[in-house]
This record gives sequence, C-alpha cells and structure tokens, in this order.
Amino acid sequence: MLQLTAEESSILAGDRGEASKLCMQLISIAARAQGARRLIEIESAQIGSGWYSGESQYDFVLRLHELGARVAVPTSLAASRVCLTCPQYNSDAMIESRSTKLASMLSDFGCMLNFSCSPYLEGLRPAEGAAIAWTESSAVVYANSVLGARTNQGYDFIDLAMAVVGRAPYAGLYQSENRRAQIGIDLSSIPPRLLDYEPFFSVLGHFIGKKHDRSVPLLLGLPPTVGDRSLRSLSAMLAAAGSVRMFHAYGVLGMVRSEQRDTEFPTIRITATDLRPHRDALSPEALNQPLRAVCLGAPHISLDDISLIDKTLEGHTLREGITFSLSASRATLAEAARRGWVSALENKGARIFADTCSYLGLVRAGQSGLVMTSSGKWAYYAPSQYPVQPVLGSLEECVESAIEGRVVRDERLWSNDLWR
Amino acid sequence: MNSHQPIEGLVLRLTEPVSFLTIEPRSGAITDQHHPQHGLSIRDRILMLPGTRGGSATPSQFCEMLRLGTAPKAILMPEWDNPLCVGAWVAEFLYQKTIPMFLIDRLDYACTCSGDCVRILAASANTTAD
Repeated sequence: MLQLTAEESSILAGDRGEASKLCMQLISIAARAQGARRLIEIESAQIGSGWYSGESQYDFVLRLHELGARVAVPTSLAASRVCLTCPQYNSDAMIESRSTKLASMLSDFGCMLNFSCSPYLEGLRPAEGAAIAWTESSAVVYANSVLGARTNQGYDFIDLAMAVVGRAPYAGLYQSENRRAQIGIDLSSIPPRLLDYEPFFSVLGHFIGKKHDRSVPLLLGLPPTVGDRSLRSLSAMLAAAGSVRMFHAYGVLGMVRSEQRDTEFPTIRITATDLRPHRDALSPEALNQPLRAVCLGAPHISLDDISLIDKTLEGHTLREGITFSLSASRATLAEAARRGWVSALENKGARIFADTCSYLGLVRAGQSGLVMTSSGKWAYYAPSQYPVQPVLGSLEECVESAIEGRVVRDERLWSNDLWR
Repeated sequence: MNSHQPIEGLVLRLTEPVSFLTIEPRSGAITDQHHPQHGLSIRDRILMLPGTRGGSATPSQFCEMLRLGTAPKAILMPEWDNPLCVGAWVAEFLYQKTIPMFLIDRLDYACTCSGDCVRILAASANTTAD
C-alpha cells in the first residue's frame, strides 16, 4: 500500500496546481504498478520528452505546458528526434516543427536543452549513492554501474512527471537489496586480447541481455584497465538486447567499488564459444559486400572519441561514396568545434549531428547495404528499421574503414580460432 | 481499465518481452527481427505478454495505438508492466480511450497458445486496484 507524506498528499490534492497534481497521480499509478510503498526524493532528472515519438507524447507535454508545469529538480534532456542545430539534415517538416515546439515548451518547464544520451560526459555526474531519475537506457546502466548513482529506467510520461514532482516510486534499483549481484559471470577463460577489444563488450552485453535478462550480473575477471568506451558499449548493449539496468565489476579503474563479495549467487564461467552466436547476431559475416557507410555515436560519443577520430583521420581523406555520420551532444560538439575538429571533419565530408542520433544520417541518405559502426546498440536496432547490414568494429577500425572504403578490421579478433 | 462485459478474442501470446518501439503503431506489427513473434500483429488480439523491454518510449507508443484504435483488445500479463499501465492511464486522461488489462496466473499463461479463442469473464480486475 502506497503511503504518501503530508507534502505529497497536498500535491496530490492540487495545492501546487493542476500540473503537479496530474504528475503526482501518474507517479502514484506507477508506484502501485511497481508495488512501491513510498516515494523517494530525486536530486536530478534526465527525461526523454524532447524526442517526438508521436502525437500522444506531444499532446501530453502540450497539456502540461497549458497547465504551467515547472520541473522541481535540475532536469536534462535525452536526445531529440531531429538535429535542432543543423536543420539542413532534417527531412520531415512535421517532425521538425513538433520537435522545435517540444524544445520550446520544455525550456519553459525549466529543463536544460542539452539533448544528450550521455549526460555524464558533460559534467552531469551524480555522486555515488545519489537518487536520480534518468531515462536514456544506456545512461541508466552507466549511472547505476559506473557512477554508483541510483536510478530506475525512466519512461515517457512518467519521466516528466517525476521531474515535475521531484520524486520517484521507491522501488527497483533505488533499494539496496535490489542492487545486489544475482549472478557471477566469470570471464577468466576469455582470451585477454578480446577483453582489450571494444566490440567484445557489445557482444558480452548481448549475451547477458539475452541469457540473463533482468538480472544484476557481477563480472569477474575484467582487466582493471577496461576503457570507458568499453563500459559505455556494455551499458548500451545490456539495455538494448535485454532489460539489464545495472552490473557490477571488480577492480575496474574508474568504476565505483562494489562492496558485495559473497557467494550467495551462482557463478558461471563463460567461454568465447558461448559468445559466438551473440557475436554473429551483431556482426554477421558479410564482409565481401561493399561498405556504404560508417555510423558513430549511438549513444552519443565523447570528446575523447572525437579526438581519436580526428587523430586517426589526420593526413587521410574519407573515401568518396562512403557516408560518414557521427552524433554527439551540443556541449561535446561545441568543445570539439572550439578545438577545430568539427570543421576538420566536415571539410572531409563527415555529417555531424547534434541533439539526435546517427540513425538520422541513414534516413537522409536512403542508405542500404553494409554499414560499419562501433555501437552494438546501433548494430542491434538498425536492421529492424533500415535495409542495412551492420558490421561492428572498434572506433579506430571504423575510421580506418571509412578511409579505405572497405571493412578494415583485425579479423584475427573475429575468427573462431580466438572465440573458443 | 475495468471491464464488465466479457471480452472474446484470439490470443497472441508473446514468448519474449517486446519493445513497443519496434511495434508499428498503425498496423500493430512487431518489426523487431530478433523477436520470436516478428511480423505478427498485436492489433485487436487478446495480447499475452511477459512484459516490455528496452526503449523508454513504450508508454507513448502504447498510448498512440490506443489513440489510433490499433491497440490489442485486451492485455493479459503475469505481473503489472509499469510502462503499459502508465501509457493506458495517459490514453484515458488525454483521449478517454481505455483498454482492459489483467493479471494472469503464470500457469494459465504457460497453458494458453496463440490462436486460442478465449473469453475473459473477470469483472473486477484493475491495474490500480487498491
């Protein structure tokens, strides 16, 4: 049975206006569906309301706007459906106009118009233990696992409602008992060269998402030097292939320390053979086809990533006929522009998108055929929406492929000799 | 979300959670190639599903189907799916569109097949009961 505090009850009674009342009603519905007994105050929110996903979503924001809604906590926005700062790439006037209007209404609500999949890359890094309410699925996993903040997966409507009221149903990953590892995944049999290869983490995320969905896994045997890019790939894939919202790992630099080290849960030792079907699901062999495009930035890439792209491209050009798209947040791109990287890339023919996702580049270019990406999430979702055949590679391999005009990968890292 | 009339229809039983981001809102077809029921439509079915996953757009996509009149006839699930409950509430709030949703015993869930014709007689189930 849900118990509200006196303050929450007064919000529900309409003492803070219709908008807050409505949002509190919605949170109560969600809380009851989750079996929550109370609400928890949140420190910040990241909401998806800037992504126009249809008239229902738009109408909801419009209705709250008419009622004068304001957010109660610092609230950032996840990606938009369009690039609001580069309208030349937008192909649908209706979606563009709806997205612009959404941005303007959300600004009136007091939201930060950052449109970022990865707010943690731009300084929005909640403290360990902080209760937050984030919504971009890869950021949710990253925030829970790497930063040690506490959040459930936000959803349309409820994410905005939580930001307006500043509270979330106290359930799921806000509760310590639900954050404990439930299964150990022992990686000690995996060849070290794979553990050092970024695409491996997409494959691992696919395996865990499919085979141990809705679990909290503890990864054993990761090298301490696992890079942030790999942790981001893993976070994105866990939430795309499955509904895993959090993982633990021991001893990885830059990750919060997990205190739990008990034997209450089963541990499985996996081999690369176990992972082969997941490797093939994300990146089937089709390398003899001509490469059509390279798509980077789902979720948004970091300043370090753009620096690496810039460095790899130095002294080279992008092969003609290859569509090279990348997406990052406004803040990241502003800094990259200040360092001269954006103009350098655009001069070489790259399409750079802020606010939205590099999927958009495909729509515009009517792309089909072989597309290389460093994003497992992209490789997972794109074939459902476009007639494309994704191929995974590391960020550097993607750039090298765009230079050569064909898939350039260390094929030893993909051969069955290594995956056993 | 209450239903006082018996609801009769053909079952579509999903064997894996589905992302509503991969359901085409006008036809109701599941477009996720990785989903076992890929290509089938949830429109006008008695939809049995183990839950939703992925995409944070689930409530609005579901709400959109209710707005367009392309939603399932009813939904049966082993536990309340939070995004679907939220989507249904907003559809009622914005458009006065409702859908009956019920909890179903896990054994009954396992024993029902796609293509079965079922009649739901329950009159008191309610997603927000209390």
